[in-house]
Amino acid sequence: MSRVRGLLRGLVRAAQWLWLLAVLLVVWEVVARQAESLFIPPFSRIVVAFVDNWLSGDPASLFLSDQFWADVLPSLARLAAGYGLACAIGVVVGIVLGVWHQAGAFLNPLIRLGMSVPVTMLLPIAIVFFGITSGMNVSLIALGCLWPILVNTYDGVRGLDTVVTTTALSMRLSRRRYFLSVLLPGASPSIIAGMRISIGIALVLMVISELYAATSGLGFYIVEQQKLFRFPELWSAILLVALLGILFNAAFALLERSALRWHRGAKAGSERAS
Amino acid sequence: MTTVAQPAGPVAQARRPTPTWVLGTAGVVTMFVVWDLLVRSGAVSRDSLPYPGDTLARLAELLTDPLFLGQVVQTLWAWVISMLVASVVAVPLGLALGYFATLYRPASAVVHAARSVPSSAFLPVAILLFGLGTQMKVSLSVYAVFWPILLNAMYGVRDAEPLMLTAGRSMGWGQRRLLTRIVLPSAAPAIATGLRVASSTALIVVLSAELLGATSGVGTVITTYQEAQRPDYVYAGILIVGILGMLIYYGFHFAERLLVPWGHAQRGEGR
Repeated sequence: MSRVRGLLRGLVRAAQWLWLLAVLLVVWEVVARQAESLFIPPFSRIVVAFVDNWLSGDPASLFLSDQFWADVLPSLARLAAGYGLACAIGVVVGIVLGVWHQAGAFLNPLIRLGMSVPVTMLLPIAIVFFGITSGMNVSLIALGCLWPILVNTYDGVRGLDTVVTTTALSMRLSRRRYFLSVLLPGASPSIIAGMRISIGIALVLMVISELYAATSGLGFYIVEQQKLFRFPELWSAILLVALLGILFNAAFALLERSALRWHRGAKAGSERAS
Repeated sequence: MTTVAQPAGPVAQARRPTPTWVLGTAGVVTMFVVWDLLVRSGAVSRDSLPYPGDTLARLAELLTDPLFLGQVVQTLWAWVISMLVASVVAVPLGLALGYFATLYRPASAVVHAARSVPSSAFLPVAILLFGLGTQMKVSLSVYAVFWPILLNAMYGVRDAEPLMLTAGRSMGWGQRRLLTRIVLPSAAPAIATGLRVASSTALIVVLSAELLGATSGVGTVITTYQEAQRPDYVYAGILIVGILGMLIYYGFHFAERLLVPWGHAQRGEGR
């Protein structure tokens, strides 16, 4: 009995959150059917194309179609490589600069300039260095994600509570202990916030760099479908990118909630992280 | 000479810490030297990385070239329009959606769904709908910045201190007074943050659209030079764009401090 009631309550809550989205999708459906625009198909046709394109595989391959493995996997691999690279470099360099003040001051103007260059403007350079290879996409993703992670890590290390750091100093903690049980935990909310911002950037750059030049991947798929005037298929790729974004964001929200449960500012921080 | 008392002893030879700006300048100089050595030693091909001296010469050349400056104006024009359109619509809408509690949840579901679509994915469709001109750039850029501005305005209103609202009500303030005296001032910092973030995003989207298909703007100039295999001009153009981005970022940063000084004190965060 109570389980039914719980389920009902859950449904009501979901409806409270989602009714406007549903209304807007219905409006889209109706208007697009009326207008019969070639470029913006009704939402239902996009969903059909989405299922056909990405989810028509057999159970053995998780219902994911060959198309998915052929076009989404290269994209995700580039995303993972670029993002992983940015995380590794950003966290290490951010900590070093945060601890070693002179180096921080030395590189500060360069970092500010690097942050301000819209990273997509580096596409023409990246293509000269790498040609049309995955390296081009990966390097662009890595560079775009690097700055938020680096700067957030730096800010996190510099923003450590001085009471905590001086206490640690007076307790003569070994460098290792200091690093593992004071510095890293103290900076982690900020580091994770930077990583969360960057995953969104990574997704955008993945699409842009593949639109610019690639021989496989989601962005490439979008360009191909546009040339073939197959717009439901094109929109299905856009829908997939959106779902990936939602998935990554949800994963990070979960990570923040479980990994940073102890942190008093973590909740407020995650709200603002976008 | 008045000196600060230094710890005595031969080890602590008194040296004042080098000021940060000296270190910063040294960093920039070092970058140019390393860059020069990289090219000179042949570690990086001259086709992909020009000499820094050449790049700076081209920088000066571009900055005095009226044609190039005209393209910069084109880019900035698209940026200005998209910022105006997005903020004029999104700020009031966000305030309204944040103010009415029944609308807040469903609206935030819509916003989160919509903003998870990168606007660049719409580029092929936007080109077909709006052509290759300013309209296409503006439409993409508006889509990209509309949601963060809206979301920040919504959050800002929601963050209004309930205690202050109750206090206002108990003093018999009307809706209008509550809105102008409590809700708006407490929402202003969040709105300013949203606009600052949006200003950088809008520039990136406009430039991306220019790289990927538009017919006017700095992005198209850089693509042209790349196709003509003039990396020195490409790097100079990118430096100019970087400086432009920096100006916009710090412009908004200082405007924010000036207009909503209580925002930083309130949250005590720099970013």
